Amino acid sequence: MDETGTTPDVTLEPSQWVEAYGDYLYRYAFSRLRDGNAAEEAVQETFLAGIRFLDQFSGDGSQRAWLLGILKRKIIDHVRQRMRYDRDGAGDTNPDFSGDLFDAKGFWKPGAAPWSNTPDSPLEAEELWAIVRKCLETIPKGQADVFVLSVMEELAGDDICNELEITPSNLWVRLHRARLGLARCVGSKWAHSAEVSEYVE
Amino acid sequence: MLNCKEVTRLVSESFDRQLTLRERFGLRLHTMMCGTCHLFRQLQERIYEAIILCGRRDSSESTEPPLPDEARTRIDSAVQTAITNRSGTRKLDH
Repeated sequence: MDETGTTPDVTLEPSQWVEAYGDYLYRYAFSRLRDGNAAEEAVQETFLAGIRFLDQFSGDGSQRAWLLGILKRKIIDHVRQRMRYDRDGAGDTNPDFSGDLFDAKGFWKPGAAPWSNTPDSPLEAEELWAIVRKCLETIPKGQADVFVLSVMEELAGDDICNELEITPSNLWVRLHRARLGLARCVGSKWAHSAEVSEYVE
Repeated sequence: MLNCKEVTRLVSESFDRQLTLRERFGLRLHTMMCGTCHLFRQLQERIYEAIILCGRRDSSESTEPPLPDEARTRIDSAVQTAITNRSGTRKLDH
């Protein structure tokens, strides 16, 4: 079977969905959830919900986009669920999280900003994305998740607060911590990759 | 004058809301003199750009791994079961 099953504008029987849309939806879920098991569950739940609510698919627009819409809901559900069990990254419990980055006067501590040593030549977006993608796995889930919902899923701040039952100030703290953590991780990987390539040359 | 801690906070928030004139002025003044914060801001902009260009692209162009075979089989059998159950109970739905 060729890949025509995955073109956006066809309507298939649910029995063909996994074959046609499985990879597409899984890649999407995996990039947002960064966890294979969670992504598999979200995809399965999407197909099952799609079967249950098949009558509601109007036929306008593509079936794949309709299923993606369901998946986006399921991704939020998964984030909410794991945030309930895992309070890491919660800003309210530890307001002075940046003590290891800044001194008492609020200036950078030595070594706290690895991006200062990155090379002048900018990375291509593709290379940078590959690093960011890895770094999202190194920062606490509770920070990475809100960052992904905000920047990749483009959810408004109010919606994220409502969905995850967190306060706006908690959301901003999480987003800020995510950005600080990403900058440190991306900065050090970037500086390191430059050292390696200089060494090879 | 703002310190680095306050400036990084403003840089973060600049992605999520419009900064006030005073905040933008304070940010500019600080990053003119502080190379670390200047680069921090630049890095955040690049990260954001990379996510828009690559992170948000359509799944069919994604570099993420495909659905693992074992999961595919499991999900497919759950889907086939759901289809069978649905056709069995369909008349009771309404």
